[in-house]
Amino acid sequence: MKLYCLSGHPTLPCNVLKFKSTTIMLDCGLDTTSVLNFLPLPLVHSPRLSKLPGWVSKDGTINLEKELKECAGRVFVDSQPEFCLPERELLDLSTIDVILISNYHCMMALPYITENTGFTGTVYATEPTLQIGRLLMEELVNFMERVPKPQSATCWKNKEIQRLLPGALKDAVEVWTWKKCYTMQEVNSALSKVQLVGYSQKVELFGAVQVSPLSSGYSLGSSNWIIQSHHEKVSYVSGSSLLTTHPQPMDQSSLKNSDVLILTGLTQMPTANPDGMLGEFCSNLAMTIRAGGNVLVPCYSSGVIYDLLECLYQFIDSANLGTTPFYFISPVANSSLEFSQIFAEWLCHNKQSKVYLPEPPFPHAELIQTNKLKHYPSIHGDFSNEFRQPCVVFTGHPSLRFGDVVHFMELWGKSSLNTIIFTEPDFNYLDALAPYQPLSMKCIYCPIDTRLNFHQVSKLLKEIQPLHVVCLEQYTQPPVSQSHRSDLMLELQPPPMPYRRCSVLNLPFKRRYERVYIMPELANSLVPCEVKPGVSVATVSAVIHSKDNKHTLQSVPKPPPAPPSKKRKRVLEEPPASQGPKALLSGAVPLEGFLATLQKHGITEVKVEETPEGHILHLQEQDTLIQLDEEGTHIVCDNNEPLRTTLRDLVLRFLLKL
Amino acid sequence: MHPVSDRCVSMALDQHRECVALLPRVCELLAASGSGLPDDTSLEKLLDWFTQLSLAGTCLHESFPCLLEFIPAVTHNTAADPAIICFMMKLTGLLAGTVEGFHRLQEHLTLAEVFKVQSWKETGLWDDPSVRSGWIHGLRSTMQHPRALNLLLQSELMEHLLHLQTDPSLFVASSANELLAHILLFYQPESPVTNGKAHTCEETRPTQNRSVPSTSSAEYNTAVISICDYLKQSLLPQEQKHLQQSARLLRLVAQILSQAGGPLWVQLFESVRGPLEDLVTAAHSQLTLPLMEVILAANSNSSQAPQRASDLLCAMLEVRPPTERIRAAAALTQQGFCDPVHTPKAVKILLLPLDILTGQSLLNSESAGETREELQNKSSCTSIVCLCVTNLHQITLLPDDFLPCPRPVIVSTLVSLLHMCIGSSAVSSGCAGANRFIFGNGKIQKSALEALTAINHCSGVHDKVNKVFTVLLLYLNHPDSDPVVLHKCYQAFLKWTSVCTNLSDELRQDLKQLVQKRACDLRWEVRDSTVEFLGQQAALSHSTSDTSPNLPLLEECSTLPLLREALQDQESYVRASAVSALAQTLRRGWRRG
Repeated sequence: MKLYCLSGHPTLPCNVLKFKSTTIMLDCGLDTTSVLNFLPLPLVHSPRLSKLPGWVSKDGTINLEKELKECAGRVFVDSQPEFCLPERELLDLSTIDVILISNYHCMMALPYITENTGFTGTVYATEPTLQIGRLLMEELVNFMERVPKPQSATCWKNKEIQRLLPGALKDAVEVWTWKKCYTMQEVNSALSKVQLVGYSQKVELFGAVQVSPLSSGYSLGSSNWIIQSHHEKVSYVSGSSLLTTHPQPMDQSSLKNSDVLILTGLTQMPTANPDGMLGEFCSNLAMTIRAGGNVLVPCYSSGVIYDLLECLYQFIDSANLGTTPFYFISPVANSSLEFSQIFAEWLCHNKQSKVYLPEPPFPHAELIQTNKLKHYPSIHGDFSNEFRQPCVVFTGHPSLRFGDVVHFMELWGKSSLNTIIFTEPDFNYLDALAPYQPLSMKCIYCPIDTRLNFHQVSKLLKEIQPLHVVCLEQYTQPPVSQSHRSDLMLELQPPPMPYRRCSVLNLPFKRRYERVYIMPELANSLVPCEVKPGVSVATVSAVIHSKDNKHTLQSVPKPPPAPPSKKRKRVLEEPPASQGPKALLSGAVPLEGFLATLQKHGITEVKVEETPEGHILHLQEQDTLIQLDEEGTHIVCDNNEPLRTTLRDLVLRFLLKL
Repeated sequence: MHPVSDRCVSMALDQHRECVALLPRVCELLAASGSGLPDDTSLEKLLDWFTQLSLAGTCLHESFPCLLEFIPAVTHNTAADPAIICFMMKLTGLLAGTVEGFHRLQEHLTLAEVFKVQSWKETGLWDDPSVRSGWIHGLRSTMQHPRALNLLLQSELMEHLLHLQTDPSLFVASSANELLAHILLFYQPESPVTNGKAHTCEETRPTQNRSVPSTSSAEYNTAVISICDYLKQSLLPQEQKHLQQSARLLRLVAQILSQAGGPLWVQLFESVRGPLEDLVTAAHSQLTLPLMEVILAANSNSSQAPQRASDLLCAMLEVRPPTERIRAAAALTQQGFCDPVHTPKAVKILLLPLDILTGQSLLNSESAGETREELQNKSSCTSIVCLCVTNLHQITLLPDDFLPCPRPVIVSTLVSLLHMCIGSSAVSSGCAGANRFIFGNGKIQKSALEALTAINHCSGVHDKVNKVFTVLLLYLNHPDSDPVVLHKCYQAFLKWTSVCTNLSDELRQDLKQLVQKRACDLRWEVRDSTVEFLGQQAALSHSTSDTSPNLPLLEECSTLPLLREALQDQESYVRASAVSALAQTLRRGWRRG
């Protein structure tokens, strides 16, 4: 069993598991942090961004004025933003049989994997994962396509030039593999390969393995996966949460008794407790509004935003924010808010029960109804007529490089009354803010990451007790910035197997058994022999028939009767009639008993030597060695056949014959 | 007299007369009733009435002769309800508490009959805990004069009393315990002396009986011997389940040792010394505190404490496992025990875990290794640290030469611990294994903040003010700070403000921003504490003299908008606190007119 690791990102994994002749891709997350190296894409013309000076090396030898721009001491690529894809050279993507998706954030690279690669397999995901994943992809494509960039910068990627670039650009890795955003056509084609599954539904893959999604408690429809055969079980735990938020709670018990557990998607903010962050978010928001400022919340259009709105629903009145308008701006805002209300079966129990009242499961429906929350596809159109300040705006993209958020950064960045509150943990907020410097608005970083923290995962692993744990390398040591925090790492016995991008791991896992079916008529012909009470064995001669990884023993077909021979001589040449199968031996030779028997037969001078496998007996007088171990017995006795036969018969006395 | 009071007194007298007239019929009814009463609180009220009359000087047997008929009637009614028997026994005690009453009762029946355990056992009523409880309370009220002691010994009641020390009912066992202490202390032939001061047994000896008529010293000695023997044999728990009983007996010994006069003290201490030594080495963690109470009581009596008592205390602080040593040291400081031999040892024991955790290495202790191991154990780490931190205030009150380091160092240690509790990298831990139990540990945070609040007046801590305020600001800013932690943080701010004469503008600015944020907190408890703090800090600045006014931590111009906003808070507690805080803030303006 092998694991190919195509991504080193802690929460956007992409691994391939080869298990029992199937090739299974586990998630295909898209690392979008690469876009932080690019200039923002403004929705309306930005004089500030257009006037940024081009970059020329200090000695003037390299002039990339058109590709790179300098802003507040940093250099950015002036081009359509590009994403860092999962590794595509480690194995042939066309050999992948299935892709299992654990949540909608972990499928954003799907079109890069399934399109133009020869992929002919199937993608398995739950319905909310597919629908919300589609929304996020649509939004991404929309953000990119509505601000097309005429030029495409490639010169800076030249290795010789890149190593001379300043700051982050110099250290960017695999820049040649970075790719522009896919098209809507590719998205549709990729998503057409998705087959929907429900929690605990068992899907047979070629008769060899069975895969089944389990609730992971992180987001709507998010799943962990069980991949098992008759005798082996692999669990894939990705982006799970034990907190009580909107999704169905995590199914832990089904993960028990795994041979291997692949662990990924732990919280990126192990020191930031989500409840505390939610409190910070609310108090900073209220403080800004009271002081007459606006609040900008760069966020994804699905996920934590539902919890933020729910929290604000309760907080608005107690903080006297009843008259403050809340805007949610995204090309998919409407669909996201509505989808959340219709996936009742994927929600936590409390929300599910609301549906029967009937009430909308999420309170943002009431916020919309009372006009406290308004949503728009973009800043253009109706929004500009309704816009009132001070207000709170939720909009994307959290990288601050594209989407409507760019406009609000340009609009509000200059006033210290305004506040930007980062709630998504995927991007370093200082890097995100870099092209907007100098900035006067207040910045608050309260990342809300509900995924498992180290304490929770240790408890979980104690509970489910997998034989082996495979995890990202960075989980096995404390974060570099907090090397004293030994609690921020996984400490397990046996230690987990670490992986990084491009690792290929041989999982410590021996396949010992395979299920074989026996045909009834063959079973009827068996003659069992009891070797110990309750255990019978029988010899069987059969033909093994394997199809679709299913093995069946069938009776040996009788040879067609030989045509009558005219030559008598031929009959003599035929092998002698079968003497029946040779007796099968079983059991172990007890040392003490065997020595006693040897003594009875006059062999007294025996030197016993202990070996890791058993014992070696040296019959000194006879100059003979008897090697007794678990697997067999060997008698080394040169030129003394009668002695060898005697010794053999003595050994046979201790063994069972079948 | 005022006409209304006049009317009240007259009504009370009428009611009293009515009660007296009704009592014989009530007694008849009670004596005859076999079945359970629907509500036995009426009996308690009746007993309270008798007690009040008795305390007011009324002679019960003369005023209510029917009671003398009632007691034998119930005693002989085998079908009586346990609640009525209990009432009867307590009433008997009230009557027999005076010598006259005792004699009067003896004329009607022998008191031995009322308290005869064997007959109650035969009827099966002894199995009821209320009967046993009534027996002890009745006996306790009776034991106010020498005749009663005579009765106890002659009627062989002592044996039963000792047996009740292990009664399954905690109430019965604890009352039996108290009765033993009463017997030993009340009948002491001479006035007990403790720490060279005359000791008055106010609690155990009613005022009117302060001078006990001569008790036969032989009888008293018999009682003392049997009690001491019993304690000697019973102090050591035979099994784990007897630990509770041992703890109770240890508290009894501690009570007696702290109040006993010379001869009794010596006799008791000599009797229990052996078992105490065994208990010290046995190191039952549940018995550490009661054991320390005994040993400290023994050591407190400096005039009589032999070297052996001091040895026991040394053993508690040296021989036992680290957690138990720390518990013993904490008990020593908490009880205010102070001597030049043991107190410095206890202080060192209590400072050692903090020293290890914060990596200060100020104490060179041989037992550091053992303590370090204990700190790496999840279950003991929190309790050890909390115990040590809780005692820091007591430690800072001790004389200089009792402390192993200057007081400002203790403040620094506490500040470092607070940093560690929120995972601040400002300090490096001296015990990596304990880190995970310290980070985010609410219990330790609360104890440490309480301690920090308490030690603000230590000499020489002025230099630490900045460090203290820095860590407090970190807590105020920390998203995971619990509401209680934030409340304690505010209290610490207020206390330490009084130490600091000139707060920097930067600090005031930081505080202002954090308070503004906390005034908008999601949790009403935090908003409430914040508003309360705003009022208290304003009041603090007003309370200083006009000649050298202390600047408030926050100016009115920044606090008033927050308080006005809080007046509209959804939570009524916050609104109430806002009203109070506004009053405190605006008081200065009102004074000025």
